[in-house]
Amino acid sequence: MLKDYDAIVIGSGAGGGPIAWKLTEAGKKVAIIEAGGFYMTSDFNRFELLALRNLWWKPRWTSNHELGLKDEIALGMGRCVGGSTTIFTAVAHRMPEWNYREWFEATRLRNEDGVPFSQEDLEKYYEQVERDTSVREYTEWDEGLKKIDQGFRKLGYPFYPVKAYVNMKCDKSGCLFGCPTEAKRGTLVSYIIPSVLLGAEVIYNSTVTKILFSSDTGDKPRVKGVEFVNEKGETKRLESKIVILAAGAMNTPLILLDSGIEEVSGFSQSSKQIGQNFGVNTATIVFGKFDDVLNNWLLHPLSGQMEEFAQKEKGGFLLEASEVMEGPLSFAEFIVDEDGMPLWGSRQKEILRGYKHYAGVFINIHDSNDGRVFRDQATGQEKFHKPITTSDKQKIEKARSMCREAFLAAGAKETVNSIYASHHVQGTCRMGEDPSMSVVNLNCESHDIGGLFVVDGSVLPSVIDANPSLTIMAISLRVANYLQETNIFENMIEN
Amino acid sequence: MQNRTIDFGVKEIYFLSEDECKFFEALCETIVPEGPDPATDPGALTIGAISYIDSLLYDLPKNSQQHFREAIKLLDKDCKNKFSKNFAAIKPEQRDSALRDFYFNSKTREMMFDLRSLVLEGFYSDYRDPSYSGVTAWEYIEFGGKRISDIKKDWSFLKAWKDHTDGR
Repeated sequence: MLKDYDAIVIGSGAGGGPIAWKLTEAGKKVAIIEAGGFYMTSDFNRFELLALRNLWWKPRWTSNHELGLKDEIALGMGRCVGGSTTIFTAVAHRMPEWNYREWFEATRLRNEDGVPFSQEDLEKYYEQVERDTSVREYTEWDEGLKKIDQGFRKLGYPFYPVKAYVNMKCDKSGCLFGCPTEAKRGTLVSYIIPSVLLGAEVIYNSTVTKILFSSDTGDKPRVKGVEFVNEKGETKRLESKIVILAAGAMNTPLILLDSGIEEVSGFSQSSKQIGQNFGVNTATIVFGKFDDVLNNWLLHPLSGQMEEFAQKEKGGFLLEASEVMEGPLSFAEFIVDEDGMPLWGSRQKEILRGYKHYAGVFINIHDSNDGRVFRDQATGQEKFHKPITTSDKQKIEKARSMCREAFLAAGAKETVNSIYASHHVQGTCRMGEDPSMSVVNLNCESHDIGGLFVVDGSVLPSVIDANPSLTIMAISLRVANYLQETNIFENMIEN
Repeated sequence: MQNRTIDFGVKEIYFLSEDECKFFEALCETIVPEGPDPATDPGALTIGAISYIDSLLYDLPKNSQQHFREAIKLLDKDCKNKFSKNFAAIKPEQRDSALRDFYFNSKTREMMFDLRSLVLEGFYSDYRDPSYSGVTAWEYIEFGGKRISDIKKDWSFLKAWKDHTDGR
């Protein structure tokens, strides 16, 4: 029978955007299904509350207490067309070379020639993404970052400008509520809108509930299409030759598990890996209060970084600045007392009253892929386990005390810590050749289901020491290239 | 609309029962207290955060409404065990202690965050009840500047504002 689409792409963020564009550009009929709304640059303003409600997932908390652990992490991701690339800080660093070695250790990932997967295998795709999204060095630093840099220079560790997919139209209006100037070249601007102009369809405010398979197609089941609930609450089905799942490392494994992939694959080794190996680059912020009025919410957040200690062996923490959450509500939600307890009452109010004096350093640690995403069978609830291990705690404490020292050296009078959070979810459907260690192969196609591809942070074999969106976009283009080179659509026998 | 005997500083209540209003009144006082002069140092109650909370809960799906009602019930139960009174009736320092325990109990930690968020949103989003026209959060903390100071805040997703025709 005739399929509705050549490809259905689930999710429009760093994973879904580039591949949707490449396939559309090649003349394929593409539908993009996005759980969040379709907002344009002109819709973005600085009204924090509505931005948080319309563009972000409500923070989803880990349930580490079920493992007998004390600390929880707030997992915050984008829920709109463009996904997290619409509301994050657009930092665009290539993955450090050492992470490729860790990938090989994690899943024995090798390229087509049987050689361990390396920088060379992503090089041309990184170059392409960097061109497509106007990556440049961000040198117009805010006053907060300049002070932070002064403090760290006294400790011997200067900050350097980040690379970001932000062009010169940036007027430092902030990033977390959507960029109002189109300076941020996330997937919304760089890939989705061009795709729509060439005929791709965006089905927004629609949640995919199931991927559909047909099992009468020879040696392994094949993907048939998807089932989703649309904006009106109606359940719909669409068929396609291939499905590209790019819903992010939290939603992707849940969609696969809800689709019954374990049963369809006969409880294969690979299917048991779905949702395992969850890594998040556990993050936290140290805010420092200066005498000067900084109004540090008017900035391109995270425009400088210090990577001296980023490698696991050197400490395992990456520092980026400045960041004060860009709005008082998020700042109030984040700050904690000396015991790590969220603040409230007159003490919190006093800190908020000094909000204009604060600048912040964002700490990202190299944590291990020891978490898990799954659905609780008894309650039907989605669950996220991500232990903060003793070693993770040591990294965080070392980073926090270094930040505090740097703040004081730069003239700050006091510092305040934040909750644990993460915006870098990874690893829940790893790529590799051995199905006992991975969910998808080198080309991100499922080991178990033909025509089903996973293209998002889920496929990263182990946590990387850079903001992951550039790498996810490069992988997305790599898979698009594979689909085109192998003529997958033309060679497919319709079922 | 409920038949109210107490005015919680807001124009209308659509969803909360009177006991729930008293609970949130106490929570507002605890999370974002008023200063000595509420006209220049407002708290969550001053600006009418109760109507934010009420309108938000009014439009939530049933299971989410239930989640908040469950949170109130559990926190009140804790307070009765420890202080023989519910949250609204205990002293300010007892409320701090009750919330702290609610946070350190892993089973109720997320509820603590959710309750706290309601009040923080009802204040630091720069919310005000339609009947209040004094100093609000952003003015109080001097949050402003380019693209912020002249922003048109759209509260129309909240019933308290949707039903309110004047003074937008």
